[in-house]
Amino acid sequence: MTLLQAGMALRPPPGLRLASVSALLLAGLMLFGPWLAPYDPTEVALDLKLMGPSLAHPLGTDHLGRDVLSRLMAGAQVSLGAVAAILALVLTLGVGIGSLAGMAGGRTDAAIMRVCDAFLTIPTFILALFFVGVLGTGPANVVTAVVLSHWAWYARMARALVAGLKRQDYVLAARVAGTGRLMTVVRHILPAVLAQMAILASLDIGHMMLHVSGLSFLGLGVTPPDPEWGVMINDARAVLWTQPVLVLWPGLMIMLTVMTFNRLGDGLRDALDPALQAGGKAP
Amino acid sequence: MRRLIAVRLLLLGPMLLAVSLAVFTVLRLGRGDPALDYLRISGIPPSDAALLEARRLLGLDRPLPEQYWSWLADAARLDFGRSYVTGRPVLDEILHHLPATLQLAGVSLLVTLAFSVPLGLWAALRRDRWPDRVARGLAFVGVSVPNFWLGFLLVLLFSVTLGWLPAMGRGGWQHMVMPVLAVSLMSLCINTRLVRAAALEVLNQRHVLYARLRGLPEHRVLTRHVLRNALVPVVTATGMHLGELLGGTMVVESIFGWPGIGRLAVSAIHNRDYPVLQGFILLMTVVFVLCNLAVDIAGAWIDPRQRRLAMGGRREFLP
Amino acid sequence: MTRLLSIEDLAVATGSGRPLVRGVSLTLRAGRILALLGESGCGKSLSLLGALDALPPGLRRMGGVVALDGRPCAGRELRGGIVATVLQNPREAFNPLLTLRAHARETLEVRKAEADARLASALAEVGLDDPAVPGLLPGEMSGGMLQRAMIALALIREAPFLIADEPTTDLDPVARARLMDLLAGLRARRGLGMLLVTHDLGVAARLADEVAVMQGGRIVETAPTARLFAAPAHRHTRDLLAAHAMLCADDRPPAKTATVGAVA
Repeated sequence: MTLLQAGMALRPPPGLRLASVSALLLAGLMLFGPWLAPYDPTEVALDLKLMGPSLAHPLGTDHLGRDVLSRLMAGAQVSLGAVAAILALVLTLGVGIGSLAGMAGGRTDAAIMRVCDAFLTIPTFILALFFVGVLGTGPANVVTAVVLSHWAWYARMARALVAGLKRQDYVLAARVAGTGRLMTVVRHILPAVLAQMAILASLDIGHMMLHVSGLSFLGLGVTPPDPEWGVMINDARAVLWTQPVLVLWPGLMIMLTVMTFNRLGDGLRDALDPALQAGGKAP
Repeated sequence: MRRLIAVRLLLLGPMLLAVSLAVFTVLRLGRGDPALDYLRISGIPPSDAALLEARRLLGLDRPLPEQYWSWLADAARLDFGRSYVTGRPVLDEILHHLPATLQLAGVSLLVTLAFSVPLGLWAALRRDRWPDRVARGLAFVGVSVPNFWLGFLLVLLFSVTLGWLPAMGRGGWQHMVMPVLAVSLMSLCINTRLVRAAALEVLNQRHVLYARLRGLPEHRVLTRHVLRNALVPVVTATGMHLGELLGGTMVVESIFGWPGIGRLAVSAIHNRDYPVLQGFILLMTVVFVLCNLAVDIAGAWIDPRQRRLAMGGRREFLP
Repeated sequence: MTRLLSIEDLAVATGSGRPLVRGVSLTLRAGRILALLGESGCGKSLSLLGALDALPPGLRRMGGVVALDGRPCAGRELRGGIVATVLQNPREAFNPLLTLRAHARETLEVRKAEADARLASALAEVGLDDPAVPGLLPGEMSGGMLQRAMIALALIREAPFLIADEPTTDLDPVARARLMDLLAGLRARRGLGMLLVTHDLGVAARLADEVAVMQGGRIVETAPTARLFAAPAHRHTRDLLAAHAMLCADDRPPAKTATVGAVA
C-alpha cells in the first residue's frame, strides 16, 4: 500500500485532522517563518526589554528587547529545519545501509549489523552528546550528531524488513521472472520498506525534536543571537524570576510540534499497519 | 541464573574493547587538534614549539595504533588520562560526578515504575471509562513535554510561586522532587501506555479465565495472572527507559545545578576536554550495559521461560 | 451425599441487550454424565460461563437461577470447590509463566507440601506419574499432557462436579479415546457429576447418560442418550445425527459402542 492509498483510506478522527492542520502550519513556519516575522528577530532594543504583551509586540519582548513572536517564528526555521534534515539523513542512511545488509546477507550483513549493535549499545542522547563533543558545537554538528546516534535503529529495522521481504513469494516470483536485482529492490522491496519506515519516522519526529532542542538548550547548538526554541528557553532562564512567561512560549511550540507529529504518527500507523496498534512506542 | 550473569559479564570485555576502539578512532579523526585545545585550555600561547611539545606530551606524535595501544594499556590499569582543564585523573573526575547522576536516574526509574504500573493496570481494567481516558490523555501530553522545559515550569510553580522547594542544588529529598519529576515524566507516560496495552492483551487471554474458573480470588487473578504476565514486556522495555532516563538526566542536571556527570560532560564538550569525553562515553557504556544486565536478570526472574533458556535447560518451547 | 446442581432458565446477552443464550435449563447429578451437544458457536460455552459468572467483558447474564441441592447460589461460589472446569485448547489455558506445581498450589491454598502430595496423586490418577511433570512449564508439555494435567488440577480440590468444555477438540484419535476412558473411569471411581460440552457426537454417545441438544442459544431437546440417538425428536438433532453418519465412513448408525474411533 502506498502512502497515498493510505491517505485516501484514512477517515481522520478529529484529533488527527487537527494534527494535520497543525503540521501544515508548522511546515509553513519552517519554510517562511523568517519572512513572516513582523520584526527582525535579532534586533536588540534595550530600551524595550522585558515588555509585556502589547499590540506592537503581541508576546512581549525578551531581556534584550527582541520581539518574542518574531523570534518564535524565525526560530521555527532552525528548530524544525534541523529535524527535517535529520529525518532525511537518517532515513537515507538507515534505509540505504539496512537494505544493503538485508539484500547482501552473509558476511556483509553480519559486519554491518555488528557496527549497528555498537551504536545501539549506548543511549541515543548520550551518544549524541558525545558526537557533539567530537565534532564541536553548532547547528550543523548537532544535526550530524543526532543522525549518527539514530541511524542504527533505522538500519536495523530496514534490514529486518528487507530480509523478510526478500523471501516473500511475489519478490521471488519477480526474481525468477528475470527482473534484475536492483530493479527488484526498487520496484518491490523499497516501497514496502519505506511505508514501514514512514511509521517509525513519524513517531520519531517528536523524539528527535526533543533531542535537538535539548542539545540547543545546553548551549551546544545554535549560537546567540540566532533564534531557536531550545536556546530561547535557555535565554529565558535568566529572567525566570522576573518574567516567567518568556519561558512558556518556546516550550509550548516544542510541545505542540511533538504532539502534532506523535498524533500523525499514530494515525499513520493505524492506517498502514493495524497490527502494530497495541503497545506503546519504545523510545 | 549465575551462568547468565557470567556470560554477560564476559561479553562486556570485548564490547568495551570495540567501543573504545570506535571512540578512539572517532576522536582522532574528529575535527580539531587536541594539542591546540590543550594549549588553549592551559593558557599557553600556541607557538610552533609549544605545539610540538604538547603533541609529544600527549603522545600525539606517535603512530595511531601505538597511541591506541598505550591508551588501552593505561585504561586496563584504570588510568584514563588527565583532564585538560583540572589536571585531575579522568576517573576521579567521573567517579566524583557519577553518584549524583546515578541517584537521580535511579530514583527516576523507581518513580516511573511505581506510578506507571498501577496507572496502566487501572486504565486497562477500566477500559474506555474515565480512568482510561485520563491516563491516555495524560500519557499523550506527557510524552510531548520537553524535560528541560518541564523543569522550568516546576521551578516556576514550586519555587517562584509557592516557595516550597529549593530551585537548585543537591541535598535532602526536597532537592530531588523537581529533578526527578522532570526526568521521569516522559518515561512514566510511555510506560503507562505500555503497561495498559500489555495488561489489555493479557486480560483477553484464556489463562485468566481459567484462573477464575479454578476459584482463585480476584486479587490473586490480577496479581499472579494479569500483572505478572503483563510485566514481561514492560521489564524488557525498562532497559530502553534507562537509556532515556540517563539521557534526560544530562539535560535536567543543568537546570537544577545537580552536580552530576551530565554537567561534567557539557563542560568537557565546551572545553574540548577530550580525555574526559572519552572516559565519559566509556563509563556510560559500562553503566548502561550493567543496567541492562540487571534488567535481564529481572526479566529472567519474572519469566521462568527466559531463565530456563539462559541456563541451557529444556528447549522445547513453542515459538 | 447425592448432590444436585441445577441451572434454570439461564440467559446471556450482549451489553446492548442482544440475546445470545435464552432459557437454558440443565441438571447435573452426582455420578451422572450430561452432554451438551451443538454446533460451534451455538452458545454452549457461554451457557456454562454464564452459570459460573465468568462471562467475558461485554456480555451479561440476564437471568436464571443456579441452585446446589435446591439452594440458590452465586456462580462465583461454585468455581473450583464445587464445580471444577476443564477447558478446551489447554495450551492457552495455562499461565505460560507458572509451573504445573505453582498452578496446583494456588488452586488449593493449603500448605505447599500437602498441595504437592495431592497434585502427585491426581497426576498419577490421570496417568502422568513422571516425577518431573509438576516442575514443567506449560510450554514444555504436549497438548495431550496438558489436557491430562488440567483434569488432574480439576480433581485436586475434590469438587463433586466437573464441567469439561470441548475436552476432545485438538486431540488426535488415540489421545481422544484415552481421554474418554479417563473420564469414564473418574465417574466410576469418584462418582463425579459431569457436564460435557461438545460438538463431538462420538463423545456424547460413548460417555453420556443424557444429552441436551442446543441450537441458536436454546436447548431444543433433552433425552436419555440411547433414546436421543435411536429416536431424535427435534429436526436439528436429526440433522446433527445425519451429518455425523455421513462423516463415519462405515455408515454404521451412530450408537453407544460404534463411535470410539470415529474422526471428529
